Amino acid sequence: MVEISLILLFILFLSMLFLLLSLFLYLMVKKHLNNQFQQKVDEYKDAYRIKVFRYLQTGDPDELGNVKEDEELLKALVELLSDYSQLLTGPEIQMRISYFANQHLMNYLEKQLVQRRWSLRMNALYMIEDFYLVNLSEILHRTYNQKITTVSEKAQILKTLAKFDDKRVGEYIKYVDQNISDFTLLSIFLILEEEKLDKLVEEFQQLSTRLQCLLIETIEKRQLIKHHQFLLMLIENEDEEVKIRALKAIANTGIPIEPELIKDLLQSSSWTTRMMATKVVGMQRLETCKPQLITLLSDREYSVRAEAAKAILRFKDGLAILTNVTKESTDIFAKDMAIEWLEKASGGYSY
Amino acid sequence: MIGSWFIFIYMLLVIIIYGGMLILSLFQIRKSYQLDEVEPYEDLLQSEYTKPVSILVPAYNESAGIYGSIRSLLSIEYPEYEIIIINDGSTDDTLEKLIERFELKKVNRVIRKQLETKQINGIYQSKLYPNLIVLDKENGGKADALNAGINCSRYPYFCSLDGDSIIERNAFLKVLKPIIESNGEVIASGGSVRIANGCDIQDGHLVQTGLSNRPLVVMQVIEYLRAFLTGRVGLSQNNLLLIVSGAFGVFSKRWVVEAGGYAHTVGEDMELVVRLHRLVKEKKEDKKIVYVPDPVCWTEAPESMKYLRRQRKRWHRGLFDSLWKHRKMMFNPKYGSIGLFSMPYFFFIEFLGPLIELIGYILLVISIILGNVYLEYAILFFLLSLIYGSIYSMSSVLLEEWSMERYPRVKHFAILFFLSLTETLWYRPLTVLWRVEGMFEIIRGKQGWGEMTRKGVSK
Repeated sequence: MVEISLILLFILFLSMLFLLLSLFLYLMVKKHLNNQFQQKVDEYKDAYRIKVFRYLQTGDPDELGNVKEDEELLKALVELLSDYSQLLTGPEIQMRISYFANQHLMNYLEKQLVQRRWSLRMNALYMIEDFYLVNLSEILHRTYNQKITTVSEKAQILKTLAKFDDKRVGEYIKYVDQNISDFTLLSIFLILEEEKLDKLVEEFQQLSTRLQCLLIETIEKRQLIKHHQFLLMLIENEDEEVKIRALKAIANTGIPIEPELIKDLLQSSSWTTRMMATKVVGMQRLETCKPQLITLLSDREYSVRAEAAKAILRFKDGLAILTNVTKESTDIFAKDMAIEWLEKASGGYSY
Repeated sequence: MIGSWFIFIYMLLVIIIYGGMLILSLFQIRKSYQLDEVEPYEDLLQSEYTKPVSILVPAYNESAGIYGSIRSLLSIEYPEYEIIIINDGSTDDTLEKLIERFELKKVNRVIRKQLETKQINGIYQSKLYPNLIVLDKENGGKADALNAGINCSRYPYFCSLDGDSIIERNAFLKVLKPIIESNGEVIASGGSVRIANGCDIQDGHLVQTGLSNRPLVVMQVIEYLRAFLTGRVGLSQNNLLLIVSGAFGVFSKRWVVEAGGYAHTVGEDMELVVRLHRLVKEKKEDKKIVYVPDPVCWTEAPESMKYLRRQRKRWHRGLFDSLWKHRKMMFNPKYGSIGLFSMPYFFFIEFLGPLIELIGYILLVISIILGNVYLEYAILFFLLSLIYGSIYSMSSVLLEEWSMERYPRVKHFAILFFLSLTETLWYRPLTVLWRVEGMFEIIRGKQGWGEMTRKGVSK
């Protein structure tokens, strides 16, 4: 019994050792070759840095010479262009980068997009975005609609298509994969053409709550005040989340609002609504709501109290009001909050 | 005889479990091999929607190294963050040094006392960097300091950091990416920790990855590779992760506060993660704790046997503390896979493993002395422990090379590989011995930390 297991184990051990040693040799040789390759790429990068810069300035492809045969050189140029695409902006530069990529990288990228390894496909997608390769849009659509495409690839494709102002982006967004994060969708909304956003506003009721909220946030971020009626309508929305986002957008875009509309919300049973309404009052300096702000300094919720103090400070007599609170208020919470914000106001370096 | 068969079967079982985890990791890590270093994080860096983070740095008598680590923190790539240094009643000039170097000024700041802590003596803000805050408090231990930091922090996520860790510039982007992109599903995220000894580090930044020329340190490098690359990736995929290293982890403040903050124990970081898992299961919510395999944090490893021994004994006590505190979860179906797999795994394999291995080593010595029939048992055990130790460590080194390539020189790769072959012969028995010592200390009821003198890794 022992002998059999001993022999079995010994064979197992030897074969594992052999396997690992062969893998080690393979990886070592590969590492050596890779290092050599990279060294050559680095040398090329040093040699071509100025030439690439000149090409981007003048648009003369002769600056770069013949690229096709040399893999190391191609890689070096791609890396340089990638670096420059982050540094230099402007339609001409973009066009030249795009022109170069169109000439030399199409086959390479098409191959990369169907690689088995996820990271290689992602890198190719990043490159398509950076080099503005609109010609590859059809492949992007095909990949996007494939079942096996991963969420991160889909997100990157969607972003790229939005950047290319592709016609179908709006539809894609309406039925977007649930697993694509809010963060990613928002970054896409922020670069989406205004017309497409307007269309989404028209179809607001058909969108999921998640998309509705993101859309409101986009209006706020991009200061699209032409939608002010739309935002004012939304603060009466039944959905709490939609209401809060609309209030926040009103506060930050400075869309005028009737004080009467806000007064009730300052007494809402939900503290997030109270907080956002407080913010609106502060941002728009709604005099008639000022007494309510002082009451809110004693709110049971910390964030509401903080927002109230901040809002009071935005009024001309804000400093005086808070100083008064520190002297006369019987509520410790209100006092503490007033002291903190007074200090912030006088400190000079707010934070 | 029965005893030795028990040990063999135990070891075989462990070999199979480790093997399974290794295979799970294999494809997961390889998936992102050679992924662009910058592109995936560009949006995070530019967007104001990237969630701001409070970085908590507890400091107790760290006058020597604190300036360097804070400087490196001030230049990390992240859109919005605050650094809160908690001076935990240092008896040296830590606070004075901070006040002088960063031109600190006393401020009044409302602290939301969500967690109970020792008294705060003062809050300071830097004139040079408004996002640098220093809390001065009565001494209460690391957990207490971190809790005070949480109370003072104003952002929804926080990260606890040891004063002596070197953070890669994009560490926060990498670790927060899963949190930001999960729509709130991920409540904690940890990054890989590597050993800084031998690396070229200047002004708190890693310039070039290198390898120490001390075998004891290189063995620790291999051990970290093994623990982080194989163990944690496998566990993380199935949301079974029970450790987010104390050196680098980002947590959702809301959840940590609800779980009661850090507890005063030897391994407060692991204990917190167990508690978070427990809370999630008790609230029946679908939340996750994830782990990012990319190395993001470099830490100084002990270079002498003396301090390594202390560290290992302490780690083992910490492991036991966490398991013991939450023993209710063990085999409890209410806690799902954590109760049925993670807890037993950490108890029977990670905690009890060394004891069983040690008995094996003792039997090995006895068998050799007795000779004859017993010699076969000795060889059998030796072979098993070679697979258990050396083979798996060698695989981890290969996995690192195959999927990450963080050691650029061929020479370093070769050193790592061949040194891992010797693991079973010297390093493994040593750590086994130390961990068993730790177990005896638990029985004797020893408390306290065991200090480590640091010479500093930064130039």
